[in-house]
Amino acid sequence: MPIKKQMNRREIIGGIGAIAASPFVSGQELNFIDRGINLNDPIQNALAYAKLIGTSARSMVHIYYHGTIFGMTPDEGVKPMIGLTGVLKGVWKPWVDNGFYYTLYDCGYFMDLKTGAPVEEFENPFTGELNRPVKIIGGPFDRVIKPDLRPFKSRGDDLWLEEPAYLNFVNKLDPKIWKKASTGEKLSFLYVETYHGKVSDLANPEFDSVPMTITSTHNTSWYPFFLMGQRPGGHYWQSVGKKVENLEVDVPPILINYIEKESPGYFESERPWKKRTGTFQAYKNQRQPIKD
Amino acid sequence: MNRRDLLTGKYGQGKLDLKNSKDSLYAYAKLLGSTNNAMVHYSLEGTIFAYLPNGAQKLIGFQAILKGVWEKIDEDSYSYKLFESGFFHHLDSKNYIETFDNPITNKKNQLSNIKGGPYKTVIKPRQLDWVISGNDVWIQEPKTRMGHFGVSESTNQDKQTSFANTIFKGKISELNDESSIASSIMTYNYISPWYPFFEMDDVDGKMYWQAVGKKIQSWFDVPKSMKTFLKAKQKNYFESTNPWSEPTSTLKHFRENNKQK
Repeated sequence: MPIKKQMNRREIIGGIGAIAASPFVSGQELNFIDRGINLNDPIQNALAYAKLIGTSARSMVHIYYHGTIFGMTPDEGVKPMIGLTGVLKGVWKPWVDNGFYYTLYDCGYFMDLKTGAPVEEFENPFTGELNRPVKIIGGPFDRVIKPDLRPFKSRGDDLWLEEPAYLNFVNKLDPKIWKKASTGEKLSFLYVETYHGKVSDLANPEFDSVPMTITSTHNTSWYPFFLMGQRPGGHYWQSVGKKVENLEVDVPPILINYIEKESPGYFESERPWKKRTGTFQAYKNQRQPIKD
Repeated sequence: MNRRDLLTGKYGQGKLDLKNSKDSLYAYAKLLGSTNNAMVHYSLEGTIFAYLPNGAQKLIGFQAILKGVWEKIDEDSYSYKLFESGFFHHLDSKNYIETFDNPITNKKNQLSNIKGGPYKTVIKPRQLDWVISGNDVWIQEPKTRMGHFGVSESTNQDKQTSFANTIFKGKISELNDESSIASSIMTYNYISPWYPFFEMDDVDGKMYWQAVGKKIQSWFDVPKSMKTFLKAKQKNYFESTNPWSEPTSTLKHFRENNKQK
């Protein structure tokens, strides 16, 4: 079946609507084989990954998230800086050799911690300066999921997968030019995404995609719009969210309206934009270096 | 909640209004612990990452059982006492270990067990920052701690910062039902300086603790490796409402044991 190039809102609402309520299964040291799933088998493990994080079918999933960025410096400790919210889009398809292929997009905004509304500017609690955040935008990022032994954890019918990623790469913002926006020549990120679902859902062969909630923690270099220069420290990004089952129930109207205004067709399209971008690239494209 | 509310996903239209501070307190107690006098436990399992200037790597695993002894004081307040007991384990095994071949320093570390509490708290109605999406609800508890993380609680050294964030997830429909305890999924993150038993004072970097778990109902739900540890090291921990009375922490517990050697 060919990949659909467009998906309407009704299909998004019904995306994983066929999922039945999971029966609670008590017990410990769960034997997945007895439950119809063997995560020690690399092929079944990859299938479980696809069903939990995305879908094993040729389809799209959306993940809503909402969180806070905390800044941490050795001298001033930890302070909440700004909120964030958005919707990730994953465009999935089965791939060769029992794998899966998906393309990820991200669209959202940095928000006021009290009102939850998008912010044009906010006062940085460390510097006292007004900062102007960029919009949250990312992707397309492509990834292949191959058969592998990912270390799922379980307690009874609950199942988790922690997916850490360490990224250390050259900063697009040269610190000699972007004196206030660049933290240095290299950027250092430790991401840990924690996905939670139910074993009984994953073991059900009738489901291509199962309910999933996510907790994201990102320990990263300062975002450029914080204008922290090479001040020691970094920030801790924490967000919670879930795979969207019903767009209008799961995602706040303010965020849906924002995304539909900023990126019309984001929810329906399989390719909302073509050129890869990210928060650091967007900053470089949109802003000019600030002199000391 | 009626059938129509379920079909239309109107989970927030039950009797609880989470913008109301009194309802919010009730929901908080029910999600994290209990709205009646009761003892609740969380079974946690996680990984510690060594976050170094040139990269991060998995260092060691850990498991813990958190115990909360909840008491309803009156309609507007609850109290609870928290304890924690746990152990470290190799990344490829769940069995508790007492010595560890540290891959960063190439030294053999004599580990301490995880032990904390009792931490006593009284909670009263207040505005809480719930995140709600459909029938799912989350609350997070960020906590900053300043202190000394060395082998001894030296006053000569500068205080260091650590930051813990605990996130609890539940269901709106369960918070609205008649029971006193709701199911709860927990995610725990903790960024800290090196704990002294890893002997990494000379290494630039920090520790990042990451764990997941859930509220459990009975001893039956405790993992086998944890049962083995508790039977050997902390008898009656699961059954007792007061497994120990002298306040401690993993750091303090290590220092006290270290003094006796």
